[in-house]
Amino acid sequence: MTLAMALRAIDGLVLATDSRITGKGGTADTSEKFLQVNRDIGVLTYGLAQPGYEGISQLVSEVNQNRWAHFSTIADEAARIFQTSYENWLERQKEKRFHGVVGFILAGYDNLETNQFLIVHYEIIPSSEQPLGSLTMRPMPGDLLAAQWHVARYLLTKFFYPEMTVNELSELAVFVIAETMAIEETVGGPIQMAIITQTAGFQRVHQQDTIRMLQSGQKRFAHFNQICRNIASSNA
Amino acid sequence: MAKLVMALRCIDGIVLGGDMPFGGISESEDAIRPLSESVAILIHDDRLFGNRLVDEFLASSPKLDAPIGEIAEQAHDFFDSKCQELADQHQPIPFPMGTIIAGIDVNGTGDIELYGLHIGNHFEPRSFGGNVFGGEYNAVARLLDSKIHTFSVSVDSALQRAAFYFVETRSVPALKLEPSLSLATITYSRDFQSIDLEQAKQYISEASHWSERVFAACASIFSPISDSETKRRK
Repeated sequence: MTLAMALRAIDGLVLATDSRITGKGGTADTSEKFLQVNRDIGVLTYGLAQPGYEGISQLVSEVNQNRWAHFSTIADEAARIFQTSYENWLERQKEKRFHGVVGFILAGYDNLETNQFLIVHYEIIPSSEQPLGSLTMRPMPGDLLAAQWHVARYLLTKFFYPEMTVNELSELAVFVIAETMAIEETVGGPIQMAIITQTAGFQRVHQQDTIRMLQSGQKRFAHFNQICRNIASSNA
Repeated sequence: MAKLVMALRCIDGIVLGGDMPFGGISESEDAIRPLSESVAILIHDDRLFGNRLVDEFLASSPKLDAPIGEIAEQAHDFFDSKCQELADQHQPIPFPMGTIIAGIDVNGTGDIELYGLHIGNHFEPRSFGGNVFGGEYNAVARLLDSKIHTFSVSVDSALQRAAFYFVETRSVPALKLEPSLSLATITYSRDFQSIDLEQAKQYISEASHWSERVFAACASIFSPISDSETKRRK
């Protein structure tokens, strides 16, 4: 699994995920779960790593080839591309059994039709009876947290406030992913992050900047730990 | 469904907790079932299916005066073969689903022993040195426990912590727990004891006050609200 999120700030979106891949062969922190689609749109994936990456790569390739510009066109075509990529991947597998869930988040600024920040969630949930599964596509009016999202949602209820800017929300996203990594074995590795604003479009946050956020956030980790310890010890 | 169950190690015993429907349920449907005076089994996720398995396990006359590790092995053999039977008959098998066997090992080491048996792992017993959490929505409890757990905690204090984990998990609307909390203890002095519903409600009520204080204290970590506002919220 992983932790994938698309969060709404007052001035844009923050997209973030970890980079851990977990499988029969063990664990590696090298998975690329994140790509830029065009100036204003990004896409990320979670769940099964290989069909996920193939899906987002294919989307970027087709958007470039066909010069799709409208968010709605890209969102609709993405549904077909993700489903086809998954079917092609499954076709290559020796066992046509249930392999797991694969999901995608398409997010960005729609500067041609709605002039809004949009988030769309796609998920393919196969089962042992239906290995092909079927893709669901849902526009998300609020934030989207996917896969190992429980701790992230809990921490956001404590720390998020609506006036947050993308920079402030980036720091909160790093905090939330780091806290999740501390207790979930399947979430880990370098944090991949991007911010999308109306003026600057999609901007990848460099690795050194997420590390800096982790370092500067140490006081916050300590503060939160202390709050939890105090509440328990003062009532022991 | 029982989406959050827990077994917390204490200096004088174990605290067991699990979410349950409002107003309580019959003993045979509870997420916490005593197996003997000093050993209990917690059922998480599909509580009804799990209780059926436990009923059939108990009806098969397992050797419950054995060390807890052996009881866990017996449960593993029984649960796994039952699920295999269902699979052979093309009967539905719920997923996820699992159990935790917790107790004071009076017939073995004399210490507290905790084992997790999960259907995803064919109920292979896994021994835990710390606290154990089960159920689809156990992550928030694990997060909080990782911050406040100490082995020197007493059963009385751990009952309050269990209620706090429950209340904090329930504070996330998307994590749909049952509205009440079933609590029990196993202690060296009094063996297995269920906590009555009224007392459990008091723990939840106190945990709600903890929860409010944590929420207020967290306000200043990211928000730029003034210190005076933070103090007011506290």
